[in-house]
Amino acid sequence: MTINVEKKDKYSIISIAGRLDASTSGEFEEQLVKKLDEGEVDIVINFADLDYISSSGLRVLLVGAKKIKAANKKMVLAGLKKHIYEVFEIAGFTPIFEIVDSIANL
Amino acid sequence: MTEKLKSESELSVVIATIQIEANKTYIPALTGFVSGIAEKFQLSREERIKLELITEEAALSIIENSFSKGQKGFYEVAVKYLPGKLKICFVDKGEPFDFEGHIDDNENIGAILIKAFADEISFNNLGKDGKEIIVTKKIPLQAFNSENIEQNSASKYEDVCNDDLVYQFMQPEQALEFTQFVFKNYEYNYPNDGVYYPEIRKELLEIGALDACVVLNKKNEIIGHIALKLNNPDSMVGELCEVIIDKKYRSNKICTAMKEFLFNYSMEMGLYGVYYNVCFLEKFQQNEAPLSESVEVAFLLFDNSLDNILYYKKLNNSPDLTIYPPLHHQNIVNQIYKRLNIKRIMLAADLKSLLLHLPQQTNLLLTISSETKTALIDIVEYGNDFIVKIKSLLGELTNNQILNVIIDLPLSNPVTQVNCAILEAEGFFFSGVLPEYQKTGDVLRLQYISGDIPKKTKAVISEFGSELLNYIYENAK
Repeated sequence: MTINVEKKDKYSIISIAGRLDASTSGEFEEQLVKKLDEGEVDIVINFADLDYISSSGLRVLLVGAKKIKAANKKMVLAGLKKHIYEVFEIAGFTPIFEIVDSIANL
Repeated sequence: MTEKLKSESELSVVIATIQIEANKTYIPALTGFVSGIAEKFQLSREERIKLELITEEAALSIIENSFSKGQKGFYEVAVKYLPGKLKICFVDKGEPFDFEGHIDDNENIGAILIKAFADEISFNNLGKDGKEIIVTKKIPLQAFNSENIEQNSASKYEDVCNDDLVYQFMQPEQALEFTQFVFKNYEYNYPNDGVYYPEIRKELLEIGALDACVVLNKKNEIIGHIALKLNNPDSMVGELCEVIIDKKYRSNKICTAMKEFLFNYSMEMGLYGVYYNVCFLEKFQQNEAPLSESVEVAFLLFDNSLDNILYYKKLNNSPDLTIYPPLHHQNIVNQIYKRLNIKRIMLAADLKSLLLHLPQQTNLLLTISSETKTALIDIVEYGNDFIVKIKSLLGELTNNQILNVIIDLPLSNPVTQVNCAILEAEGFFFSGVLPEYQKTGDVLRLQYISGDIPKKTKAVISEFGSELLNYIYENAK
């Protein structure tokens, strides 16, 4: 998994590539929490290059959703591949997050 | 004759096993391992990702629950193949935990994902051997048709014609070579443990308690085997079993030729007929069935891909027995005998007087295979307690995870006419007729399935077989 963070307009965009699983979710959580703690801008997580997500990755997103809500900010998920979206749907995550097709649609 | 009752656990083939430390760090290695195998079975990329998810979530549940205190430990993962299925079996000896409660927890994301993407999930406590989680993923059927690991591809078949092969009776001195031959083809996965004891096999052959045909290639190596067994020394019907053919030779008609070899021998012995079963799984056998003049006499419905077809080949005329088939099955029973060209005198019983003179207790033989989750009840004699006894037995069996119950009713006993219908009211259904199968003579076979009746399979069977199978499914409903 690789994580790339960039700032664009009013968003901080975190792009994740590869696999978000039990062995990588810790690193992702660290980066996400760090960004959230800065608390300056809304967060966009770009999943366009993400190939795999398991419950460990979803749990991190849940932690992020709670934190961002408390900070009165917004977290948007972008570019979910079809099978990743299916995992979100099954886990009941689609109503929790704002999901857009790609970061171009922000 | 319980060898007919093959189930998934017997027929599955272990493809790979891995022992891995209970540590999240190694989960990607495990999912990659499983996914790599699944790729060989034509699972699409998306389906492989789902399989990886199931694997990860099951492994995580072990790491987080069985090794919750962070103690170092290992768990084992085995990938098993069945036609249309891959089974991933996780075994660990960590601390006991309630996996069923874990999987039923609707708040647990991992459990939700497993339930959504796995086709089957099961959990077994193995006592001192720990506990086992089994998750199953269906794979495309063509994966079996074209890439069954036992059959490999056609190009790998040995290019021989049957003229190059020698069919002969197995000799006692071939017992060790036979065991080596089984090992070469199945390692230690062949369902019947008896094939791994050459000294016992040698003795059985020496004393004439076992007859078998072996096929030798040009190098004088065993490349095929089939055995003929009798239910008891006085039995007038035999059963072909232990059909083993070298992986490289399965495109040839060796199976058919071996059967014909023992049919001829059995006919000379004066046997009335010979049974043999074909499991839908064993395609190398299925392609060659039905053999000429063999008739489908019974079907056992297991899982979709595991149904068993029981064939009977009449070899010699048998005495014209009197039988009492249940009136509502008389037509199909009649057709089976007609197809077999066996004469039977079918009578309607004077049941009132018969039922008054039944002994107190039913005499039955019960064979249970916990491994195959199947029980076979052979009714020797009816007693007044028959229904109470069967109901109680059925409850006990299903409570003990027995999923399939087969009951053989003696057709020579007039009470079968009544008791068949009573059993059907309890959920048993018609499965077939087996001439001369038991000491009591012909047998009416019924089957009980704990759970849903499996969907109909597309087996290679005769027109009559298809008619019989339709009848069985109609009754099963």
